[in-house]
Amino acid sequence: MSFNRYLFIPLLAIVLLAVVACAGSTKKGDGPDGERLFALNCSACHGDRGKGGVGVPLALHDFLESVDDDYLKLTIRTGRYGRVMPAFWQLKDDEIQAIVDTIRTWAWASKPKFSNVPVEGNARRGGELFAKFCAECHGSDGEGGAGTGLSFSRPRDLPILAPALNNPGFLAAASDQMIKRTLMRGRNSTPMTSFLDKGLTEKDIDDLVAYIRSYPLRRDVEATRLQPVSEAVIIRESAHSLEQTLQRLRHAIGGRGYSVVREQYLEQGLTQPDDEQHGLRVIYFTSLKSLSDAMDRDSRIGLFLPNRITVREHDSKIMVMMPNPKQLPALFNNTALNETGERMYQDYVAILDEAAL
Amino acid sequence: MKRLRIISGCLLILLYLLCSASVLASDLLMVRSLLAYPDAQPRLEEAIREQGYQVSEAERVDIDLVVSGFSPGNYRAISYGKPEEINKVAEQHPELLPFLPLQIVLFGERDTSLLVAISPLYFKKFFHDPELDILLNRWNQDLQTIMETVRDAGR
Repeated sequence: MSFNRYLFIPLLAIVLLAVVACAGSTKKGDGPDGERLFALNCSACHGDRGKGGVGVPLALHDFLESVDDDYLKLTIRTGRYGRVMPAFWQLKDDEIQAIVDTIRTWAWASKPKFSNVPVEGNARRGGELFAKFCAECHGSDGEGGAGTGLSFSRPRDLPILAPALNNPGFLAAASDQMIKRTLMRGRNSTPMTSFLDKGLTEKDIDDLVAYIRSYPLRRDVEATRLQPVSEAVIIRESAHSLEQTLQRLRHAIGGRGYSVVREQYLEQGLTQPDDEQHGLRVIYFTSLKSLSDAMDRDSRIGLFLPNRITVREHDSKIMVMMPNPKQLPALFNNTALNETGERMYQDYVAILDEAAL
Repeated sequence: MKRLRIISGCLLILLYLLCSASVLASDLLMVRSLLAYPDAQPRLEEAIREQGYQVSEAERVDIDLVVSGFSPGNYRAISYGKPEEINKVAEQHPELLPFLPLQIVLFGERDTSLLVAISPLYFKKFFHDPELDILLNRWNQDLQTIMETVRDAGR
């Protein structure tokens, strides 16, 4: 009865999802090309042949010797929620296995297999040990170091930074035994040293594992949730003429501490000057501080910068529009952009309201 | 009992992650090219033109990027499009105009380059129009070709 109560619904749902995910993936032949799949899906962040880059280096002996295939596969499948690494839900199981097999050819390492037997320990005591031995690198609540997996703009002179242990993706992928092994033996070439060498006992380490495993039961995920948006753009209809609207926009932009970079017709550069529609204008604006802050959090945000307002005159109606910056965190899977997106949204709405209403 | 609770909790987390539509890898297109940044930009612009688009702007957005670990000058947002398509979108879906011209961000990372773009398919969730879907599908196909061209040029 207990088994039914706790496991039946999640197991049933996962089986159903797996059936859906596997539908249509029964292609026969030589099997997926892991190297090609890695180049398509992974190398942008993890570097050519897993040498590292924006994402952590994978072609490391000590890393590959301390993680099993299940961890790698689940990490690819579920990603790291809000920490840039996306969930590759669209890849088939055999494609993920091919990627993992390919990664394992890049550095010699024995291939571990960890059991799923939970580690029993005292989570409360583990929390005390965590504060003393782990929090400095992994954060007081296991949120990880600022850098790897959090910011796309991390300093490139740091090969690896402490991962977020409280991340649902990590907790889903890492078994207790894998975490315990890492604590017991550490990882060469990283700041993670053996906790046995630090003087802790195996019992202490079991308590630490129990503490880390307690995260999903107590973490307030709402605080860092990626909020999907229902509207891709912010739109206002201006009560003024086109030229008046443009003038009011310039004034509002300056009033919020930004500077106009340039104004142009939307089609400028795409067609001959005589053919440009004069009723389609774009104002680009920025501020060094906000630009620096945004780029420092995630360089991909350049897709949205400089800030731009599109103005359209049609049938005597003037529409002013901007991309909704609240979509940034979910689009980039980066909760470090929550604050940035919200601040940009407030500024955008204030500018559009002041100019249009 | 405790083990069952833990396993059940993990399964629910996994289920939540699998179902989370906001973390889809396909919303963004990202590729790494082994071309160094100075070579990647002209190759990217050439690839865009090969797909029949005009490049309208290669904008620097890297002011102050040095604080993020980049060297100044290694970051561009390349804008491109076709005027007739912009006109069509302006008529039928003006709410899409803030995302036009289309854009690819290119930045150098050591001796390689990264290309990042929003997948045009991303906009399907906001604009439910089968006719627009045809255009978005083609944009996406062209964008993939462009990015793969630059990626493969360095191999």
